Amino acid sequence: MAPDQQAVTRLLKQWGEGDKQALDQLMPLVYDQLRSLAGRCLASGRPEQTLRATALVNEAYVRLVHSDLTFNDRVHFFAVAARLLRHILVDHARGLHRQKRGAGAEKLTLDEAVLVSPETPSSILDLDEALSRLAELDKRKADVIELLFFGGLTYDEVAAALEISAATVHRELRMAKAWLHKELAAT
Amino acid sequence: MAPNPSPERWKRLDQLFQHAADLPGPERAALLASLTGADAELRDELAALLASDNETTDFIQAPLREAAGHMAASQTTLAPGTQIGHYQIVSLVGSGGMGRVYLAHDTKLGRKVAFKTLAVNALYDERALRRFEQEARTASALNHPNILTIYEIDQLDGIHFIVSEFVDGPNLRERLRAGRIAPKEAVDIAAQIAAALNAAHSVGVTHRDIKPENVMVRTDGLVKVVDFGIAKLTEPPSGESPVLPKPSSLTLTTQPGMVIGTARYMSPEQVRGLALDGRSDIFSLGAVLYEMVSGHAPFEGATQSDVVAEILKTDPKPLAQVGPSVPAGLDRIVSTAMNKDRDARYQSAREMSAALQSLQKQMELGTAGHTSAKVPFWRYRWARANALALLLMAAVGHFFWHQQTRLPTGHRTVAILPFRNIRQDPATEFLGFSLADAVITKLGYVSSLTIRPSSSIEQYRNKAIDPRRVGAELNVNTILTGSFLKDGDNLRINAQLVDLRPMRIIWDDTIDIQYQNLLTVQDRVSQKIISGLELSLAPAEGARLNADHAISQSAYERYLRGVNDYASDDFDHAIEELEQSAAMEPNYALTWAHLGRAYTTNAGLQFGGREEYRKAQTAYEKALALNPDLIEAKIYEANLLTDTGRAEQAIPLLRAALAANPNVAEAHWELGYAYRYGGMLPESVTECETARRLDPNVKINSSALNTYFYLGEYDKFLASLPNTDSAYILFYRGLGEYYKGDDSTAESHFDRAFELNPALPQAEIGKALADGCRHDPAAGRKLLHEAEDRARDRGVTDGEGIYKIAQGYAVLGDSDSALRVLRMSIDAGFFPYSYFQSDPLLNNIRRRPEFPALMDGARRRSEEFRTKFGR
Repeated sequence: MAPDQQAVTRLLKQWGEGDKQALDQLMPLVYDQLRSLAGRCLASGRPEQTLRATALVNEAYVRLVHSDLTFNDRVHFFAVAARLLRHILVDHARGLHRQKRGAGAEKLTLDEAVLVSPETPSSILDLDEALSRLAELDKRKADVIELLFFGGLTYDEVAAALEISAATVHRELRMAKAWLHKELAAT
Repeated sequence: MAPNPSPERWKRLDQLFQHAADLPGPERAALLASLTGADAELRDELAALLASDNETTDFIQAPLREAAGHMAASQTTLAPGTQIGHYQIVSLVGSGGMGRVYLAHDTKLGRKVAFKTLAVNALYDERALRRFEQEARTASALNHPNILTIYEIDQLDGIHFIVSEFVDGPNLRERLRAGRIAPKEAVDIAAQIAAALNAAHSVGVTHRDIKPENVMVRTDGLVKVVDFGIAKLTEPPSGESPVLPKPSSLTLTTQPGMVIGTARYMSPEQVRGLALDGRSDIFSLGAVLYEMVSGHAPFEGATQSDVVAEILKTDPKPLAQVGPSVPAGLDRIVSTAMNKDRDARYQSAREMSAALQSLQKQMELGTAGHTSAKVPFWRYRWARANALALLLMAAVGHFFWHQQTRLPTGHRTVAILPFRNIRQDPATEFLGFSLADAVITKLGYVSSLTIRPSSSIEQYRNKAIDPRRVGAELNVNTILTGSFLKDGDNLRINAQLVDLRPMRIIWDDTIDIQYQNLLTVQDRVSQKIISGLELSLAPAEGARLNADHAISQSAYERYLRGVNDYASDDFDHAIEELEQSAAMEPNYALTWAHLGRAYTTNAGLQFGGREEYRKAQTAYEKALALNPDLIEAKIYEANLLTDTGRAEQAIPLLRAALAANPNVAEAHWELGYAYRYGGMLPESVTECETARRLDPNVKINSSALNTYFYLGEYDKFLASLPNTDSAYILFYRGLGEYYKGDDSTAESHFDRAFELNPALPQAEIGKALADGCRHDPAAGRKLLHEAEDRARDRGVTDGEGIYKIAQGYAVLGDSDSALRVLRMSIDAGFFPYSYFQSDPLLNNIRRRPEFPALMDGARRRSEEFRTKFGR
């Protein structure tokens, strides 16, 4: 196993066992990976090609996690990744390029690329902002949105992550969607 | 925006929604209508929610796709050949935290540039971009040799970019990959960085991101510090640290601790997010110096947080342990710079700069001391031997030991370049050129220096200066470059004296004065140059240097403006300003000298004018009465004398001036001019060629070496013409071609000259000749009559100019007029007899009976002239 994989797997397990500190250590590793993936797999394609957010997260998962994780641990991973991906896209749209240097990483990374395309996607920022407001009103609904769209989890996985039934997931999704749509239409 | 509903109301809304959403249309409406009490207040919201129900998820997916696409687009590199505005990408040369750097070609100006793309987004970073731009421009406006010159900051096609000079050489990071740097070179590099910091700090700009990646070392050893102010683009809100992780939270809402940039070279206060000043840059410079010498960064750690902890709490390992024998002085400098307490560091870049320079001197003498235990025996001996020598020399009163530093043994040729105006304030614009001119005038008296005249440096006003290129263009081995900043009553001048062979900065200093004391600037700068170059002055020179009569601030300011106007070819305003200055202060010799020159130039453009020449003559006399040594006045007066037919008087004046100042190119030039009028043609060529050798740019816009012309060397003549396209020069180009027999080229030059300035007598003559070529002599003759009339009205006295009218008449077949005007020309003091004999343009009148008599007169005067002045 690659050292990163070792670390991520271990941390996920620890987190699953209730060690909250593990999450803090987990974040940067996943973040690094996601970012570099976002760069690499997109660099080969043309700009018009759409990104499947879920594809990214899946890819990150494959690279970072060993297969002997429990279902729950996997779900946790996706949950983390979803949140991080959201941050990455939003931050990028804001034009901020923050880097988290991993252990010993001193080299200049080529994927810190900085060319801005003509249309600035403000819509993701609106979406992000609305989602944050939704989280203030009803955290679970916001999590559902995040896990489904940014993380690419299935309904079952979302249910497991949030410890609710699948039916509840659907219900939550319906209202969350309506509310977001209403809010965004108003802007 | 409506306040958030309370948790209870939200819950209720949720319930209602879930219920209503499953109802068919009419029942839904009924439900809405039936809401009562507290529920009724939710009606609008509920209705809105229901209206939004059953939308596809596209409104969520689409922004995601868009954002991802945005990110994808941003990952692409610009391909070679891509055109952005007038820049064409050549290749990618590097990338870093802030952007990618490309080598590009500026197709408008035809030069290599560095093209750096920036990650900026309008929304959030607009202010950050403004702040960064402000700082970057200010730093660049200093035009300091050690600060990267920025040409442009702009955005196009959504791409934000910075265009700057392209530096040929690696950055310090790349150098360090190859291993540590020898102490001597490391100290030299650090000294240059300190100089850049000093200049920037003096105008309020801190770098904030000094690290090896931001220091470029050119192949000739010149250091360029890049990315001033760029850290501002990612500055966190004040009070927030850029590097310390936020406290962790235990749920999914945790935000990872974010780091901006590398923390390795940051100062403790920077890492903590406190307000910064220049001392933070000093810390970073110390860290860089540490790494250069030892090969290792002073603070290292497995993670960013570890590095931060070390910066805050640990002292770096002593240099002696990490590197080879390192001078103790160097260790001291590094530890002072890197003191955790900023009040204990060097309080300014200048202090640190002085310490580094002092260390440099010591290192060259071998007295720098060592941190290692053993001192090599031979060094000790040498230091001792030197100490004895020092004592001896001191006893004899020489500063022999100064010679240990790298002073060249050759003669110093110096160019004082116009000072750059930091504020871009039109009201003080004039100072840039005039102050330089004032220093040039002062130093003109120092015989151990050759100073380029102001006319040679005019072209560098408000230009980015590359010391090496300027040195080549002006053929000098030393330049003074600087900037000024007027802030209320204060004037701050930054200046560097740069040695070009080898490239190093002799001194770098800031002068603060009250604006009221403008006059002292030229004195102080001149003195600094003299001491910086360690020149010894003859007593007379020293006295002359301080000989200026006192002049009031307002009169002096007017004088400076006048000088600046003249240099901008705005002769009318120059005369205005100088006249006013003279009215305020009639005893300042230089004002009169410059005024005389302005009158003369104005007159010269019109073949001379009685009134103007008279005023000029008076002005020169006043100048020389006030200061008999004023060489400018002598040169200008000589020019006037020749123009007014008194070359015989010009020559002794110039010879006397040259006896005292043999290296003044302009004096040689004027002498050549005077010789020409008297017909001493070979001597004329010699003098003009000497002048050009001393200063390739002397009188570059004058009618070149007319003498070549008279000697029949038409190709040499054409080659000596400058590249400008003024009507004046175009006429001469045409004339050259005409003599060579290339009528059609001559015609086109003449026509264009006339187009540009039909009132210029030379242009008229040219057009007349062109008309002759086109077989329309009548039109040509008409032009010549006009030129002649105009000349007469103004009391024209320039014989050489008049002669051209005579040539015109001769060519166009009006022999009577030709002879008449030829006589006028000879009477006016223009009699190069050998030229008259050989000039093909006079062929049409050679057989006229009056011609031989005229020639006799010319020959006699020519021979008298030669007898008097020939050697």
